[in-house]
Amino acid sequence: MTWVAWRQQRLQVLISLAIITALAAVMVYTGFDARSLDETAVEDKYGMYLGYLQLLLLALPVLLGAFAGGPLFAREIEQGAHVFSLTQSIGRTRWWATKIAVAGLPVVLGMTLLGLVNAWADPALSTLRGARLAIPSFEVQGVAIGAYTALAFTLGATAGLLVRNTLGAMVTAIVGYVPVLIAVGNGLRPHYAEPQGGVVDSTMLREKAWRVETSYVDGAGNPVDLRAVCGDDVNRCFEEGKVRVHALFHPDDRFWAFQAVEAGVFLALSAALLGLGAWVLHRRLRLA
Amino acid sequence: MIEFRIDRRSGVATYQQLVDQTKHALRLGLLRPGDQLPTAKQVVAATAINPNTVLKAYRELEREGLVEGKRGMGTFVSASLAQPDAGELREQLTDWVRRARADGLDREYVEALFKAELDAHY
Amino acid sequence: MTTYALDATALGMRYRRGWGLRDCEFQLPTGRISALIGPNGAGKSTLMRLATGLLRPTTGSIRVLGEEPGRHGTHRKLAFLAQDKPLYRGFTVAEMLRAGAVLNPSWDDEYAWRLVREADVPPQAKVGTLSGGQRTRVALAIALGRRPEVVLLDEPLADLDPLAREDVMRTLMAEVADSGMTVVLSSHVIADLDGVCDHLLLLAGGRVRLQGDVEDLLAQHRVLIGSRELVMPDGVVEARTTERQATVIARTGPVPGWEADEPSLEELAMAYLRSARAVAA
Repeated sequence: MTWVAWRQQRLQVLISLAIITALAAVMVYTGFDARSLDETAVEDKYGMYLGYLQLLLLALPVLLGAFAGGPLFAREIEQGAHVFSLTQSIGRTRWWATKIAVAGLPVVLGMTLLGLVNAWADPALSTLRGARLAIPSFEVQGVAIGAYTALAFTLGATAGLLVRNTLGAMVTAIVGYVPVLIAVGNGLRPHYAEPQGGVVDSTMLREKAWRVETSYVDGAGNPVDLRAVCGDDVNRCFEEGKVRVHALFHPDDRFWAFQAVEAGVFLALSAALLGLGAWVLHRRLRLA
Repeated sequence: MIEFRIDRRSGVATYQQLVDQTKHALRLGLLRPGDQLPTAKQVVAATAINPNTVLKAYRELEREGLVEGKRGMGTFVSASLAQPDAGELREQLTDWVRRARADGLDREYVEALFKAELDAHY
Repeated sequence: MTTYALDATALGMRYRRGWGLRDCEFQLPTGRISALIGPNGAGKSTLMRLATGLLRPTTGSIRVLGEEPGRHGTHRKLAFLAQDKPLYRGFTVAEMLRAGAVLNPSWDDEYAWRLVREADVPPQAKVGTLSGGQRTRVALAIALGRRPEVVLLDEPLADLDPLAREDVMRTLMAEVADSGMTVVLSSHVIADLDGVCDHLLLLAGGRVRLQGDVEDLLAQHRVLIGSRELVMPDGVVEARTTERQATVIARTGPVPGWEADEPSLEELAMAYLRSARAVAA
């Protein structure tokens, strides 16, 4: 079955891996080049590049995932060829699992490697971006990007079994994936660890910590209502030191721990979708 | 070896057609004792009929003592239906038919006459 | 105990729109060529898909050579050729045969290749570019390459030109003669099956209407023609009358007063199908 699945999916797998390899090559070149330049030169040369790269890397997991997962079962069922596959001497589970592995693993692993390459290239461009833990820097490097791809892929694959329509499955993957990514980034990620609290000073900006909440305190450190203390003249209030900015933040060195948790969350969601697919395959699905 | 021809529209059972055609070939001397009948596979590969039908026809021929199945070798003709030489009789018949025509008897009448004689004697 | 090729008990299959098969009891013997006859929508495809395990029955059970279809694919000794001859469109013929080989432990590569060569199908042609006849020959080669004891063919001759029909049937019958395998083939064109099948299962409206050995069934029935004044015999399947004359197909022997003939397979099947439709309406 592995050969059959490979023969069926090879075009999609090879195209995906070619895109990933090309991007990795660009990143490696950029990483070396930017390291040889001073800060201003990097800003001039790579300001636009980083913007486009982030946009591309935000879109790539869902595009490649939907491209691999959406047609995986849907197209075979659309063409009726699953009737052939499932009337040979292999069970449904093996058919399903082999196709998932052959189509899904290469893109998920490829995207993970791409995330690691980008994490290596990133420090050279760090002056061009905000906190590494914040959207969108967090999403485009490290190991989480592979897990994002896994979610988009499993969404597409499972939707394909249910809707049996290639376009429908790909749209479902995209429409299902985007809200999850936004919700996790904004709602869940700040709580992966207890944020540190402190009065904001310039060192924090240099370290590029991820600020998740901002409040105001007086000289003794008690919370205050900015408007009640300062009235309309807020700037003078700060200059006199009557009020200071207090922030809850995650320091930059939590990056890899957060990446691990985020990847875990998305892999767990992917596993749940695979479980749903397996259940549907056995209990609910009339494949004829 | 003979070749069978199946007429699906004749209303005659397929196996009966095979039996009849074999006997016909035996009568005309196209098949002689010792000749092999085509195998079931050869027959169905040519006619697209059910091989069980061929086997049934051969069993019927075997039951009538006309052929003999030899295990692993095939089915062979074991008896003859060829008639004694009818050359002289046929010449006389030809003469008779010529005379009938010369006397102005029409074809249907000759056929009816012949059939009546056949029915009377066979 | 006899093991049947297919053996159904209280078999039923319910779809959202209603029952596709209901309360079906039947046995198809091994070593025979069985015809599955019925109009479109009678449940022929449903029955075959239940036997392969593609569908699971709502009620009752179906056994293939004594075993219910399990989770590990279709019964190893059963091959199925679906009506639309599903194959992987982007594969070449040679790749399709390789797929057959890797998906089936009992694969006979030499044999499958021989069938493809006999069909004159170019091995490097893409499946999507084959004609209907070639596609059927390739699908048949792969089905037979599994060396099945039972082969289910769903409308194998539909969409084929007369020459291709003849070729397919000759190939199939030759393989039956060689291997003694059991064949079940469905068709809504009864003339296609006459002279080929020796066992019959007639379905209409999702139910079994008639089953048995073809010769026995023909011998048990009569086409009776007589005056409409005559008393109807027992076992009437269908009766048609004009002003004076009645034509009756009945499960009976000779009946005094009627002119009796053995029906042809087509006459018999059509009588049962028409009577099933009349009951439904």
